[in-house]
Amino acid sequence: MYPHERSLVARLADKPFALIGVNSDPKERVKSAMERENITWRSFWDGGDTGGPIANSWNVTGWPTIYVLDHKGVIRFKGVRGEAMDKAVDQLLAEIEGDER
Amino acid sequence: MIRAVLMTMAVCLIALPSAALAQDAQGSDAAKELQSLQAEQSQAVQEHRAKVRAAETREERAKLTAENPAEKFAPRFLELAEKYPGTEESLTALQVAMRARDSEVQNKALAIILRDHKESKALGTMVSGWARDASKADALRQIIDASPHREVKGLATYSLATLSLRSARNDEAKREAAIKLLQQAVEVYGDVEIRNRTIKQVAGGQLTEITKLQIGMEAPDIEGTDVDDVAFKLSDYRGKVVVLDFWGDW
Repeated sequence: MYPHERSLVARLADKPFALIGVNSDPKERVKSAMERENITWRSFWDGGDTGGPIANSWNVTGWPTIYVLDHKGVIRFKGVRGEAMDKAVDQLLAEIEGDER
Repeated sequence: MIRAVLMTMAVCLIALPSAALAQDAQGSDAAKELQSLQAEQSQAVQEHRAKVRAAETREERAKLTAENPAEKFAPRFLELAEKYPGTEESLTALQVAMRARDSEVQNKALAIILRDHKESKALGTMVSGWARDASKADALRQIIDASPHREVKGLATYSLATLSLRSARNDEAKREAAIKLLQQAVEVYGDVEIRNRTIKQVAGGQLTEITKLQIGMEAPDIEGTDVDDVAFKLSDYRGKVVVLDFWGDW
């Protein structure tokens, strides 16, 4: 999980792209995980357990859960992992370039 | 004359308790028969397990595991249920028969449950298990109408909503009907417990998912704080492609 996301974030460092987390761990645990795994992206902290308000309002009952949003904030993909996540992001980045042209 | 009256009274005194006893005896007959059938079934299951363990070749083992030693007991549970209609034991036996693979046995058991036990409080667990079984829609409707127990009604409503949603697929009208049921489950039976949560939590979550979190919908905004207590919003990232990752370090 972490290595793949790290490389995605590194590869798209100068693109209009952001990985945003919503984390369900106790705060100390999240912080040590971020340090240990060299996690540079930002996360909402959801209160320290899996029943947090953000997870609840997004009906998240399994972790990890992934949503991919386009640059207009529209949900375009759900549950994509690994290569499928990369492809989804690349497709949406290409759409932005298409819009600008 | 007086003697005759006394005699009659004496007979009544003896007869009344013995009638009650007879009913008790029937109750306990049902309980005894149920117990011995359950024991016989669990012994057969254990013996079958031992045989599987003792199998020497892979083929032999595969053949054995394909067998279902409990299955042949299903008709006997059904028989027992028919012998003592309306009793608690009958309902227990019917619930066992409902787990049969044989759909004829299953259907008969269901018909008897709907005939004799629609008002039982014990149906809650069973109706909870029907959320993925479209063939149970009609039975669920009957139980929702007939049950005097909020818990059973609530669980049945939630199951009916879930299976209606699954079978609606792209049919807009059916989908709307299913969403209405889900709303009803939340509003009327929200406090009923289901798998250590409440119907309000479970069905409410599904409603949000359906109405706000579908592909093509604008994502709801998130306002919160990061791990350093700095406030930020999901919408701060408009203009960028965003992977939103619900994660935990476990």
